[in-house]
Amino acid sequence: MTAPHADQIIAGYLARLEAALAPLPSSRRQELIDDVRSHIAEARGALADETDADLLTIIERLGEPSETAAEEMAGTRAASSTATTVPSGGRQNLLEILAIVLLLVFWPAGVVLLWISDLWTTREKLIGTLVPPGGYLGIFFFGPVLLLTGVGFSCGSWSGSTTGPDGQTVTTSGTSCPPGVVMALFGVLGAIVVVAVLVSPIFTAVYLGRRLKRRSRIDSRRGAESQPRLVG
Amino acid sequence: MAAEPLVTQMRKGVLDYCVLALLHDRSRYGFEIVQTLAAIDGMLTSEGTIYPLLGRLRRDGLVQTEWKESSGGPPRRYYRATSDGRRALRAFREEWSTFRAGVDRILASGGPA
Repeated sequence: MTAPHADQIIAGYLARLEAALAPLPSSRRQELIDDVRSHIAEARGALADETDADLLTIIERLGEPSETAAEEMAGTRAASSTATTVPSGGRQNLLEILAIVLLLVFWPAGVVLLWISDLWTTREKLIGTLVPPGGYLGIFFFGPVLLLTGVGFSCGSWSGSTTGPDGQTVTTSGTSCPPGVVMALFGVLGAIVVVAVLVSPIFTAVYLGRRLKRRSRIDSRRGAESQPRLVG
Repeated sequence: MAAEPLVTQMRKGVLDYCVLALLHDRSRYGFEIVQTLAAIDGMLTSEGTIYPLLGRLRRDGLVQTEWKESSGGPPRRYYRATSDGRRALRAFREEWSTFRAGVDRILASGGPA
């Protein structure tokens, strides 16, 4: 059961953390807030029946936001001599965006980038690779072949024998298509499959994009930074 | 009360390497690392500070991360030591045993024999 004031307690803490991290680049700040948010979610998941007191304990164990912020700033100061921290997140997301685009237009390169990235899970990478296999390249390659086999299957050769009224066995055989109704059914089914296959790369791209957005290191909500997000 | 800042001081130099040691042989996710460290007295007083530390180790190339599905919950970010991280840990291990032996000797007898 959810504690009565769970959302307020968590949002309040995350807002304080966000405020303490204000001097940091937004990508770093957002990443840290996401880490702490999933920490709270994991800690809550371990509870059988949470109360407000449990949540306050989780928050208390996390420590003062200023401490976490100080630790993060200490890391920034040491690293700032070599490079500013702003582009690192952006560059890595560029790889993922490129991967999604290439999956659509040039699948082999897209797949390579997809598997290089560390922002997707293996399951997501498998979906990105196999739905559909080969992306649009695969569809245009294997699509005609599959279509032809489909036609070949439904219009296969048939043979049968019947016993005529005079006791003679009449054997009939030949190559023809099934009757019109069945053919029409195949046609409708085929059209549905073709549309599904043609749309599937776009679905996959959207799916990967949405997954990426959740763990994106770029904060796209520039205008709404003071507004704390609740844990869903 | 006076002991806490002392522990904090001592922890500063070694916590990075304790985390690297946890991530040497297998990958772990953030909350798992926190739980393991928190079980050891004095290792982690403010659990939130582990996340900046993990971020720093990653930017320094000492750990790598990977998202993995979890049963029932959202995907988790797993951390694992890189070859650079394992090398850093090896160097620390040697330094540490020399250092600890030196401190122990001084504490026991008031100076090298």
